[in-house]
Amino acid sequence: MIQDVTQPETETIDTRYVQTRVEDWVSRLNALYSDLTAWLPPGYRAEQSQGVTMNEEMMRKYGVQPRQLPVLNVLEGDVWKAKVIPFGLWVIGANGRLDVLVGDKKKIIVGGERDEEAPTWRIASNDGRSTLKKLNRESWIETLQ
Amino acid sequence: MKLVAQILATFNEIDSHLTKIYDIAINANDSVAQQAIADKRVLTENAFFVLLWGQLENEINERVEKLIAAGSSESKFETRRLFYNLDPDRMKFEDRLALAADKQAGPGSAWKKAITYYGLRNNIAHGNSDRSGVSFLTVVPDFYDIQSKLIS
Repeated sequence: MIQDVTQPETETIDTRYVQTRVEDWVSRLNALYSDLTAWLPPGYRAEQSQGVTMNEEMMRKYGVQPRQLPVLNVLEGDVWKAKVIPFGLWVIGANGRLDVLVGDKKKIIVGGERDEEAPTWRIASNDGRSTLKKLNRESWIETLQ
Repeated sequence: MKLVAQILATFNEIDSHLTKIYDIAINANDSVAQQAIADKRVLTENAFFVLLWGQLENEINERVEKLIAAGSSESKFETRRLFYNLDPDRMKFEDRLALAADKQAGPGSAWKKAITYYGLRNNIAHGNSDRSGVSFLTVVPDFYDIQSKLIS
């Protein structure tokens, strides 16, 4: 089910609300990157030297300052394997989305419902035919193959 | 929903190009180019969302037209007369949808989902959207779910 659709945002949307959602997004991204790094197979490593600027329409509308977000690059030894890039938080159909570039292929990671006790993520190829599956060690390693 | 696959394939082709140049801008640490490409990606995703919504709206319209045609040719006058003044071309979307989905059903129902997506679609079409893109992998299955729950 899609929260946007089943439970549209009923809170008062103001600068404070947008700021809180941005902080939550940053915190979820940090936790996600920790998991993705911990799940890497032997010989792989991750680094976060690159970044993107988060400056979504909701932030512009409510005067929330742009935020720098880290990009997670995955390397096998010194060879680049994959890149995880935060795409956006206020996405129709998901509580946040990231792009995953693996070679010349692209997958996406989408965030679960907002009222979850612990944030969950799902992943799939962005080919219009694939079905999202739970993001865990197994699906992450499969993504890197 | 006849053109969904074609629309998604076209989107993916355009998205691949935008993703590639976005990656180049990240590697070059070019924040100006990053923002310009990010804005184009949002616009592209929103535009394709509206195209996909049109597929579902067509589906709803077809159901309603069939329903009205069937009702108008009912043998019982008591039933037939209820449909005489219904013209799908002159009905608001909400009124058309109310003939194909239960307006009183709760969260997760075809009505609730379709009316919310319709609102998101309108915001995009009128230039008032505050959304940053679309997760087609969740939205498209949801459109099919709505389609499967429409009442004929």
